[in-house]
Amino acid sequence: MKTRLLAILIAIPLVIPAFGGEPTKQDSFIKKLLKYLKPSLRQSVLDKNFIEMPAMFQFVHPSANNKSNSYSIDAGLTWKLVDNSTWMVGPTVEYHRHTETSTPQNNIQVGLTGINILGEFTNGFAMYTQATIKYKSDRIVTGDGLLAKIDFSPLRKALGLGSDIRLFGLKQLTYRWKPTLGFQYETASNVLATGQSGKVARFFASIGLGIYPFPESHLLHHNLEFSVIDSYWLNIDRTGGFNEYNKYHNLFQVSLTYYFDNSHHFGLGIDYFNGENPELGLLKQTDTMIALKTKF
Amino acid sequence: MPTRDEIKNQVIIALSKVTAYPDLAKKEESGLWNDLKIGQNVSTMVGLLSDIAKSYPGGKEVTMNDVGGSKTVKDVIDLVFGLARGVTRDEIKNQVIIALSKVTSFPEFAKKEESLLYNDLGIGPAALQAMAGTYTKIAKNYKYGIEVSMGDAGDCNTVKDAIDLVFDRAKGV
Repeated sequence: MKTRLLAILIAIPLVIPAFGGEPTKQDSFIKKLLKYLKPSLRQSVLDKNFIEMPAMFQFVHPSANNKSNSYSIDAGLTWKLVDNSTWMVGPTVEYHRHTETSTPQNNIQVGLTGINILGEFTNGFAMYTQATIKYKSDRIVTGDGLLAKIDFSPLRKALGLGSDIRLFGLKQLTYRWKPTLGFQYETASNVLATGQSGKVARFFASIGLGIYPFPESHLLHHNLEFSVIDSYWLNIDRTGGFNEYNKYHNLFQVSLTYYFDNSHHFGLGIDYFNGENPELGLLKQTDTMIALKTKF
Repeated sequence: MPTRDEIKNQVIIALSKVTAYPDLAKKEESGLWNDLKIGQNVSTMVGLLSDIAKSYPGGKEVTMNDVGGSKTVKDVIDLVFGLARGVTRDEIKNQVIIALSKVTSFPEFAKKEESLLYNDLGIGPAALQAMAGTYTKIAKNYKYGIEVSMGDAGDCNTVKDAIDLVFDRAKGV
């Protein structure tokens, strides 16, 4: 296991002065464009719901002279082109890059994502569905290819799905959880640098739990978030190079984050993860990171 | 359909009749009580504003109670604009509070406009977006009501934001 310590926040890729609302005559062209497109920044477009993972930026400067600097970026930008009461559709760009040689990750993903909400949450139940189709260029794990996926997550307040409920009836501890089931299909031109192309169909299951201590405290109320997410991918049909890849994939993540602002734009957190993520080109590893986080 | 600019012009004329400072009535940021010093002319003002709102089909009467919550000329314009389109903020506020109370474990916070939807009410990002369906139902109950988008519903930070959003959409804005 390896521990990396935060050095500095290297960049926030864009400054977003305003979200939502209709553009007005007084707004500049850029502001009008941002209001129209409504961009959002997260760690990945695939975790926009429930327990959101903020984008992370890291720069590591080792104290030993013989080691080189490394950096890490996990960010996804999404724009909303179609946005009504049941549908939200827009283009998305993701970039995941780790330069450290023992845990390399290097891929860019460009595509389209759509969210649909079926049912009325205030009446007790709604289904949150997200479908995404992306071109993926991964220099380490899969080469170039297509990734299509669809995820289903239920919303039911009485069960803590979507909004918090008290843990064991305790006033000072609330939780929210997120079960997700999905299906994925991926093509690749160069699986694990073997030169073989391949196709894979997978089932996806994930369970995420967010715990919020002292929800009624003015200092901590939901600014302190402890989350645990366990995700599984089961490859049900594989061809070519994917036959050499693992049949199962698992990623276990634990994260403790404190947000400095009530809008949760900036935070500092410690993240532990163990496993691999085939969607994001993350090879099997165990890591602990302290990082500045941002989401818009 | 009454537009805000139309209403604004009429409200400025009405306010100019009941204040000794008609130039200040032209500025939306002017204070109703401090700058325009409406004072004892308030009932005349209410009558004039009511006439404006009721001159439109479906327009509602302006009451003394409605005006009590207005601090600036802008507040009065927005109030009369809403009433001309048959909507009051209080009506919307009550419905939004009921809707939010159904999806939070902390309904006491739903009654305070300054409460944060995520932090105080504990409503997650997906659930905030999912409120768009209910907000749309509320807004479309009114003559000029239009749809509330998932993005706009998800961008609301406070109870006040949610009320203002639905109030705007109920007015067709």
